[in-house]
Amino acid sequence: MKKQLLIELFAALLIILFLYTSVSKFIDFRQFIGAMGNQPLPAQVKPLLVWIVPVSEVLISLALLSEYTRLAGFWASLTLMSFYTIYTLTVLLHFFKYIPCSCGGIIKSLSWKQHLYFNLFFTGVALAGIYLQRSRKKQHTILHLKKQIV
Amino acid sequence: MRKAKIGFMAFAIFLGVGGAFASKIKTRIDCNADTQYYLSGSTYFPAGLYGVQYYCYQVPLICTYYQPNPISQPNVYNPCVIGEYEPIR
Repeated sequence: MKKQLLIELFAALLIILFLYTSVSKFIDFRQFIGAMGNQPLPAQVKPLLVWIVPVSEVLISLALLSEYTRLAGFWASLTLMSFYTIYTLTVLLHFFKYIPCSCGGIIKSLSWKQHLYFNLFFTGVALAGIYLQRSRKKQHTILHLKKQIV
Repeated sequence: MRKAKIGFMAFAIFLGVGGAFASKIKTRIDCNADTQYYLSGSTYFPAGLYGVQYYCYQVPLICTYYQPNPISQPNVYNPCVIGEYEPIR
């Protein structure tokens, strides 16, 4: 019961984050295109990323909503948050001359160091979600087998 | 239990989407929503669209300014964005 509550809480936190950032990008799409256009990435991938990033955030939120796709949603969250964390680290380690923030909403007002802590926190949430969801699945399987034996 | 779960997730969706719109309204209130100017010599010029016409490098300088009262005080410019102004060519 407690485990289930934690899973719901972690999924809800990630849903809030991804819906907030994706909707913010879509609301201010022109600004987002401009910010993405100046990222130190190959020019060919930028027009694709402008769509891939916010759409994948919406898709991850949808996956986290349903119990059947939640584990996949947690894995996708971990992957995306890991990318963001690595990117933030490269900025902090001065890999690039300058990097404009292309994140959505009020998150863009965070400093890069705060950004790193923020990303690490949500990476941790996704990791904890995977762990809890997997252990819950295991428990269910054991219970199911026990019932079959009895 | 199932109803509570649905309610909880609906609340998360509401917070995510609602928060995005609420912060959009908030950024309209702060100086970022006003016309941005950059200082060149002693004259202020319109900076244009951030990310399209100019950028602010992350250094502790004033990148752009705004006019708090453009009608009653047309010559007053206050700092808005921190950084170093850099036009995009």
